[in-house]
Amino acid sequence: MGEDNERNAEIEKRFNFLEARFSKQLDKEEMAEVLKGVESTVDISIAMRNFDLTYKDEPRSVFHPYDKEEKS
Amino acid sequence: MTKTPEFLPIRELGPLLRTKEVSPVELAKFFLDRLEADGPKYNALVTVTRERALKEARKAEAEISQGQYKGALHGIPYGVKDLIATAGDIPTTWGAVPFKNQILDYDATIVKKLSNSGAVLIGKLAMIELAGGMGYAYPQASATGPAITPWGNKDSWTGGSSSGSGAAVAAGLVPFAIGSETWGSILMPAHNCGISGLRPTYGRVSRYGAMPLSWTLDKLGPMCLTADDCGLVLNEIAGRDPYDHTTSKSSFEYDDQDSSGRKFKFALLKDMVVNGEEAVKVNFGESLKILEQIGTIEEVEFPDLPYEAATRTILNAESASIFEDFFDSGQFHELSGDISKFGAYSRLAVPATDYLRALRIRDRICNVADKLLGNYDAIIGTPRNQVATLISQPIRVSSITGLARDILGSVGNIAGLPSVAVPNGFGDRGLPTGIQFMGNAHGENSILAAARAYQGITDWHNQHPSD
Repeated sequence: MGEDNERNAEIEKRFNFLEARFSKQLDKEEMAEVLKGVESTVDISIAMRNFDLTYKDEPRSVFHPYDKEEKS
Repeated sequence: MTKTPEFLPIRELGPLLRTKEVSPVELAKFFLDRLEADGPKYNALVTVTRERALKEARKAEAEISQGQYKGALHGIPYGVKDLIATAGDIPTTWGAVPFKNQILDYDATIVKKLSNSGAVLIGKLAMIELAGGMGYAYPQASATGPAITPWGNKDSWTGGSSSGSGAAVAAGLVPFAIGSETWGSILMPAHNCGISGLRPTYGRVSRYGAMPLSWTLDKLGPMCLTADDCGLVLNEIAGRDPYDHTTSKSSFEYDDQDSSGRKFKFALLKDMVVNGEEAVKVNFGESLKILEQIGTIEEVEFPDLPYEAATRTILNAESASIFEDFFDSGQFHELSGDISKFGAYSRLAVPATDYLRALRIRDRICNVADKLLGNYDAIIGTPRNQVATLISQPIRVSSITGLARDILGSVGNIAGLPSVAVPNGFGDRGLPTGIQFMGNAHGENSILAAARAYQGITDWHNQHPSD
């Protein structure tokens, strides 16, 4: 029950943000599709958060300091 | 020339050009005419680049006649997925109505490299709009309509998003094509169109000039009649590019030595086809028997990680950032996809911490994949567990359950691993099925050798659809 509440709260929060930004651009039917998308992305987030990471787990990042030789 | 060239692999076309049995101009005109006449039949074509093609073909002809033969692709016509920039007033539409008049006044690095190899660009090929990155439920999500696989009753989908590339190669309209894959967009159309498609290691081929969908997932690769041809093309397009800082420092040279007699070590993903269509299961089973002739097969299992969730989160977050202005512009309404496309707006609300969590999980996945695949030449599986759906059907409609799981696809793309798909038989409605060989990072030569060995004792790649 607690998990469902958390999920629903997160869906609501994300959807409200998108509604505030796009409701002038999208009609009711289109916003309903946005809601379906939010439900799906929240479920994806939950699946990831259920996987334990440690402080050792760093992102596989794309950042490299500027390298003059690289551009030559 | 005893055979007409439409279904000759590059490996056989090259010598005909080198020995002047066929002229590059003659060959370019042959394929230009075919592409122009039959491309629209399959909704495979966006733009024929006749003027540029004939200029490049004449140049190739002059060079070859002066004895300056450049190699395997010299004088070979090809097409590119229409998300790859081309100079010279040729539109680059990204497959999407809002970009139908977009002119980018430069050649992508991949086009420059192919041009330097003497290849002849004859057309820009159809694709799912924005490489399918906004999500789509029907094959109609393309400015040029649903692309049709040349197999079966000509009523089934090519797969996406490199749809036109798949159809054009399968129908003999181009000897090879360039596609792109973020998650499945080369392997799926290769499977649905019965051709060979190679997704190279991430960073192997420069992305400069290609529409970005996901900076850390996008790859460009060849789609050809044979795995060997994929190697020949990769040899020319691979390499470091100062314009794409993610390109690999490790160089690539295609090792095309005879792989017959070599004993391969294959891994087989547990329960790979358990949810597949019957024909997919049967054909995969037959493929395993063939592979047992050339190597050993051990069943393996990936540990339980959120492969699909992490891959999807990276794709969602990066595509949201890339197309944020497009979302804001309101032009989204002009896309051809059905109403479900609006679900993509949800990506703009993915928290940064989720994106970073996905990148942290990615590191774990890279390590897991390296450890598991390091012991093998390739892990084998199916690119898809079903034949092409009808173009009138939603693409995810299927009687099969469990299709949402795509471990090989998600591991392969999130970890940037190479994979080659080749045809392995036919299923319902006369539609092709396939098998994929996925390798460790930078392991293209191993997987291509395995696929070549497979094609050396099978004949599926020599079968072609009727007009």
